[in-house]
Formats: sequence, C-alpha cells, structure tokens
Amino acid sequence: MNQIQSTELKISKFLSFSVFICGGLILCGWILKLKMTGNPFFTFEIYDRIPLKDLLVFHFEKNDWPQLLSYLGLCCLITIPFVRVFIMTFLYFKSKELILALVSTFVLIGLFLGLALGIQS
Amino acid sequence: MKENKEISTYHVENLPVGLISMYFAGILSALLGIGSGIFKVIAMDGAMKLPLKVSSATSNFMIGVTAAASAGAYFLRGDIRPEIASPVALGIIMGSWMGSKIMMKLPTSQIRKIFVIVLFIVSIQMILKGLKT
Repeated sequence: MNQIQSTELKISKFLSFSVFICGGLILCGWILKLKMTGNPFFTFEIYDRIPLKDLLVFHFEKNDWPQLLSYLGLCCLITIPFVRVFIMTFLYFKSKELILALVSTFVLIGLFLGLALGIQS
Repeated sequence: MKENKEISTYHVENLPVGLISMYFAGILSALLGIGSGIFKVIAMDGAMKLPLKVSSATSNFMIGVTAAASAGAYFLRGDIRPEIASPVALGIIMGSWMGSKIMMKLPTSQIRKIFVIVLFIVSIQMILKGLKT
C-alpha cells in the first residue's frame, strides 16, 4: 500500500466517523424535538419554501435548539462529500499525481457548479 | 479476474460503452425518479467487467458525491425539513454502515444473487406502477 492509499484510508475512516457524529447530532435533535412537540409531522399541512437563512433565524429566535441541532447534523452530513473530494484533490496535488489531481479538481468544480446552479433554479 | 485471499487484480474494459451506459443511466434515473445505482452497477459489472464489489462501492461513491451537490442546493433553499429528513438520514446511516460491513464478508456470488433479487423486485414495482397510470 503506497502513501496515497494509506492516507486515503485514514481520510475514509475519519469521514466515516464524521458520518456517525452527524448521525448523533441528528438523532439528538430529532429525539429532543419529539419530546418537546410530540409528532412533528402534524405541522406539515402546507408546503412553504423558506430559505435556510430565514429558517435558522426563526428557530434561533424561538430558542428551538433541537431543530438547530438537526440542521447542524444535516449540514455536516451534506458537507462530507465536498470535504472528501477537496482533501483528495489537495492530496493528489501534494503528491504530484497530476492526472488524478486534475480529475478530482474537475469533480470539485462540478460539485460547486451543481450546487450554484441548483440554488439559482 | 485473478483472485486470491488478499489481492484481486482486474482490468477495466469497454470504457466507451461504460461512458454511454452511464449517460443513459443518468437519463433514466432522472426520467423515472429511481436511483441510478442499479443501472450503474449493471454497466460497470456487465460492460466494463469490474468486480461486483468494486462496481457497488464505486456506484455508492458516485451517487454520494453527485447527490451532495443537489442536496446542498435543496438544503440552502430550505426544501429539506429536519422533521422529515432526520429519521430518513438516521435509517440510511445505519443501513449503509451495516451494508458495507456485510459486503466485506459476503462472497461475490451471494451479493450477485441479492442484486438479482433486488432488480427483480424493482422491475415488478416499476411494471405495477406503469400499469396503474
């Protein structure tokens, strides 16, 4: 096993651990929310799209920490693939694996482009 | 494929066919609203002659990375509600962790059988959905 493979294995293990941390945050938020409000599905009667920023401000003002905890867990969970590709890109550039570095840079650009286009649409 | 207990060697074949298959997998998954993992695994396993475990792991990685972009956009737009997403995410975290552990232990032939059963169920479900509409 070369250096890149061993580092990649370490990153994978770290990110797998991060997934469980995110799961823990989501679980705590969800259980606390269930305890506080009972069945949260009763609140879903009308679909109303509110931007995340406004939702966070709303829950922060209401001191709705369980909901904010769930948001934190979900945010970290969504960020993990970005972090994975970013670290790999950095690692490939560092070890001068130029083809792999370019491929992972291309994937990273695609990810951010997809995110930007998704927000705009 | 040459195989022993520690190292398996394999060669990627028919890369253009794999590329075209992925293109159609993307179209079909967007069109039918089902996960493209099934098509990806078929393309990698069948056309590109990758081992099933490699196909499955690569498909998982591809789905995870590409889904992150759209999930991030939905999240920032406020479409993801923690009340609904939390139990789903928790179930998937536990299920995928168990699945990856089981995949490491199960022989490829067993995984192939499971894959065939899943394909059969999905096909039946799609046919029934098609007949209903």
